[in-house]
Amino acid sequence: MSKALYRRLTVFDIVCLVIFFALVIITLFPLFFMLITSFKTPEEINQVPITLYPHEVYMGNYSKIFHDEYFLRYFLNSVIASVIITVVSVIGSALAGYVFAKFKFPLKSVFFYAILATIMVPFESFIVPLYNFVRSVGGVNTYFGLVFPSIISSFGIFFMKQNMEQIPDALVEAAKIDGAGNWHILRTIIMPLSGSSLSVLSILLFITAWSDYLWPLVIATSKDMFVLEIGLTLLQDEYFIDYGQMMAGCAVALIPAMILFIFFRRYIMEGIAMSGIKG
Amino acid sequence: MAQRTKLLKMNKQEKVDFGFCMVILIPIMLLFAIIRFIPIIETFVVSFFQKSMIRPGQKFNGIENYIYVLTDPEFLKALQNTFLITVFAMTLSVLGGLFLASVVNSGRRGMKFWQAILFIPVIVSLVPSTLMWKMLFDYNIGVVNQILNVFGVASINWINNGNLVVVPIIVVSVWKEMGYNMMIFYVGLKAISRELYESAALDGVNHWQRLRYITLPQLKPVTLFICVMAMIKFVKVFTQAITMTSGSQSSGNIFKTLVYYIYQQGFSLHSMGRASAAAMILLLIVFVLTAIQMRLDKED
Amino acid sequence: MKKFLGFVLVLALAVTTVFAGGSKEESSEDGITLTLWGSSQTMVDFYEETVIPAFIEKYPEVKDIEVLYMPIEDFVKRLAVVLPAGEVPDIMEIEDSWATPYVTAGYFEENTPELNAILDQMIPSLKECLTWDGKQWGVPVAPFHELFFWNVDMLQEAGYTEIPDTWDEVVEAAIKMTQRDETGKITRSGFSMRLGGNPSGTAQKFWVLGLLPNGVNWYEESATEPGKYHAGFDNEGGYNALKTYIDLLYKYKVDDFASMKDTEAFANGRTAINMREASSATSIVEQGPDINWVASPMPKGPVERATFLISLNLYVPKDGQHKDYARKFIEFATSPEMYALQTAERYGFNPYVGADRTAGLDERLVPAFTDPEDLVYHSVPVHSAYDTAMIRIGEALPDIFADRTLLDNPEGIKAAVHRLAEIFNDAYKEFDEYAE
Repeated sequence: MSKALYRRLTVFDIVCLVIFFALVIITLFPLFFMLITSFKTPEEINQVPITLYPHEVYMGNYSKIFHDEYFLRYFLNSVIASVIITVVSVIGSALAGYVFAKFKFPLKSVFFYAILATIMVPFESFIVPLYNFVRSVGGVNTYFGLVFPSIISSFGIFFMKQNMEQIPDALVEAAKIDGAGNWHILRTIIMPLSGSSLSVLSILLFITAWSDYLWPLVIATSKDMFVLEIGLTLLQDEYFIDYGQMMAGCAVALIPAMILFIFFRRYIMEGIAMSGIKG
Repeated sequence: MAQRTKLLKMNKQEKVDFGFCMVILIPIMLLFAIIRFIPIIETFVVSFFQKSMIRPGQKFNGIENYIYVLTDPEFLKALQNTFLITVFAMTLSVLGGLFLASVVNSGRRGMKFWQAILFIPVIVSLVPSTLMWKMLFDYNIGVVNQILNVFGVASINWINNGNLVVVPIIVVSVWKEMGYNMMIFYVGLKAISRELYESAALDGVNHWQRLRYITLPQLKPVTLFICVMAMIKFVKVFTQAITMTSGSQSSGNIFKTLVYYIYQQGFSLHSMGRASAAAMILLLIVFVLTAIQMRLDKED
Repeated sequence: MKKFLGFVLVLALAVTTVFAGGSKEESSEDGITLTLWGSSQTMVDFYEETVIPAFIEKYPEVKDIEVLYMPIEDFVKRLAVVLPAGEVPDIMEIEDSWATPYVTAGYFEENTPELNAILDQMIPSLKECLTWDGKQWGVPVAPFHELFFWNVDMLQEAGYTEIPDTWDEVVEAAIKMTQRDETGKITRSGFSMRLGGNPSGTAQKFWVLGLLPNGVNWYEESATEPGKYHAGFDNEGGYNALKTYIDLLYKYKVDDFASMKDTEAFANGRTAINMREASSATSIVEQGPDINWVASPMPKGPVERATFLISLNLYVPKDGQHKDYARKFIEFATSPEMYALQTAERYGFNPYVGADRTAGLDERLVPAFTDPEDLVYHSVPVHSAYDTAMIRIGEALPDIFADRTLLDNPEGIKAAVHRLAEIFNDAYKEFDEYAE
């Protein structure tokens, strides 16, 4: 078997593989570098030439982070906010995606393009009116205020629409002839067939929520409500960027997304083959 | 009137469907109205006013904000910078994603593992990623320069040179986006019928011909989708640029992008009218570019 | 699929549980809790460890003071959104130049006579930069002045036994202390120059190192219309200021755009001289414990020996809830006793006239806190346009510094200075504060 494979390798294949693994290395190196930096002493970080592995494993960066009594709180807040945002907006995207993909109704495209256009406006430009609204309903310094502006995702709706359009209309029609209601079809046909794209979307929306910065910054008025992404910038003081500590913080911040990714990976790999873009 | 007759003409099933759509869409559109449409419309209105972010009061001044922004050399510079990043980052991340997807799709052993690895940058937050790359590109302690030195090239001051800093910014952007594009291309490749390749193999076509006449045409819709999404993302590039070039450690100017310009007009210079006008110009640009891409898609 | 839905459900349940737990904390409490927003890490530590415990001891009805720290960039971002909406702390600590837009827009309470009585005992220039429209806003809690940090080992290596005291001597020493590798790349700068990054910071350094020693300031009051201003540096002083920078970069080559900068460079032994405020010494001590350093006052420039005195001040926002206690806290935190503690703990500058500024101070900083007779303190003016002008100038400066052709090019330098003056005037015109 392996012999047969080996024989089929052409020059073209080899070139491709070389480039491929070069890209893998480029992808991995910063991550690797981040990890080793977090174990280096401050002196070693600034050392020239740069060391490729920590000469003494230094846990100080991690202990300094966890020494901050609030760090776990930031972490927890990030998890809470990201999970709420992900769960709610994935459900919303799935429902709206189904409607846009499988139904015809007046003004459909107007609705759809209006939703799509909101991705194109930078958040910075409408944060003030948005803040004023959330404040007027008592959202300052609450989890509600933290998650509210991200509770629905236009990207998610677009994504689910594209994926659900791939599901053959015949399946839906057949069910309708059998007298199945729309909710029933959604539950028994559409959702099972979209499991994979829902997984992908969950990951993407979780990452987006996790890395949100500006909104959590303005909406929190006490440390209790800070999220991790803000906690990381608090590690910088006015005169100095402590790279070791910062990278340790990054490494810790990676954990939930990694867990989620590993958890969903099977669904993504399987599912992505079934989903796909209109074409 | 036409709408109404249409509604009246619906049969029972259509009425049920319509009700179903509205039950789902109305709450969603209401939410959208609150968190997006109304704030954005407010921004649009403010763009015609002379309005400070922190002072009460406003004065209608027509299109003056637009004239100011469009004739501001800083805005034109931001436009140019953003264009540069978008073109390169988009091209490289789309080509890179396509390449990776096709290698992963070749069915060689272990490819699923490498695919997972290549997806990791997508899940790393942007600020930490940028700081990592900033460190790698650092003039004094950066690995990139040390590698260059090994090949006998003198160290290059990537970060603090207004003309070169675009390179690390593009690198971070591509690094972050490539895995994502790979995933979508992978889907697209999987969808191409095996029979097409098999019959081509019988005709004895080589790699290039296969790519040119089968893979690429089949992938066109996917490619366009990725290009649109990537473009929207890169036109709004901000975090990479600011993280890369701000801070007391930096020399040289902050690498201004359109969103940075908007942010600065609003948050630092407190001119909400100009910030809003710039945001609307950005919206227009992205909208037109998206429409062009969609149009190109339809023409084929 | 069922597994997936089950997972989502479990997550949602877990979330609601934590949710409920999280919001419970907002229970009613006896006693007052004040809130303070600060933008300086070292001051926040000082409040939390020293000021607040002592304050609560004195006023037991105050249960706690919650301090929220944020780096200045984020702090300002936040203020712009949050303050206009009326979401304010009880006490706010912010640097005077950042506060000016908010002071002039009416977000803070005017000082009470009690607070002004404190101001009157301090160095007069501090009061000036808190005065707008004839009234005072804010009380200085952490004034800082610019000074020079010297690496003593490098100085001795270059043959110096005393710290150079005039600008020409500083340049000479900087040239001697600059080190390069065989390719000509600077491995150790003689003098760490601020060449970019945050625009306001770039402009501020140019002000104190370029303009002020050459006897000019950014602004000049109009002779015909008092209360209006125009650029005060489109002249020989401004020319000399820019020439100083260009010469340091391209003639004497004591620093360049690539080298490590500022406190980080100093703490790593990568620069011989750094110009920064005294509290940056906390970082030097922490990050570069082996560095043998000493601080000095600003050197005597061609025209005058100048430094700035800028301050972080405490303000009472108009929408604050406990204004009385906020004022009591301000009085307490700015008392001579607290200043004495600050000097010892974070190298703070004691602004009280006649106070012993060096009592308890790290001895390496003592020379810098002992004013030479000819030292002039400058402060940031309270003009609405100043902040905007500084940001725009700070953005234009890096490109000018990077322009190698300005070396030995008097016309080029003059044109560049003139361009800066135009930027300055345009900003003032926009705020209607400009007059010939």
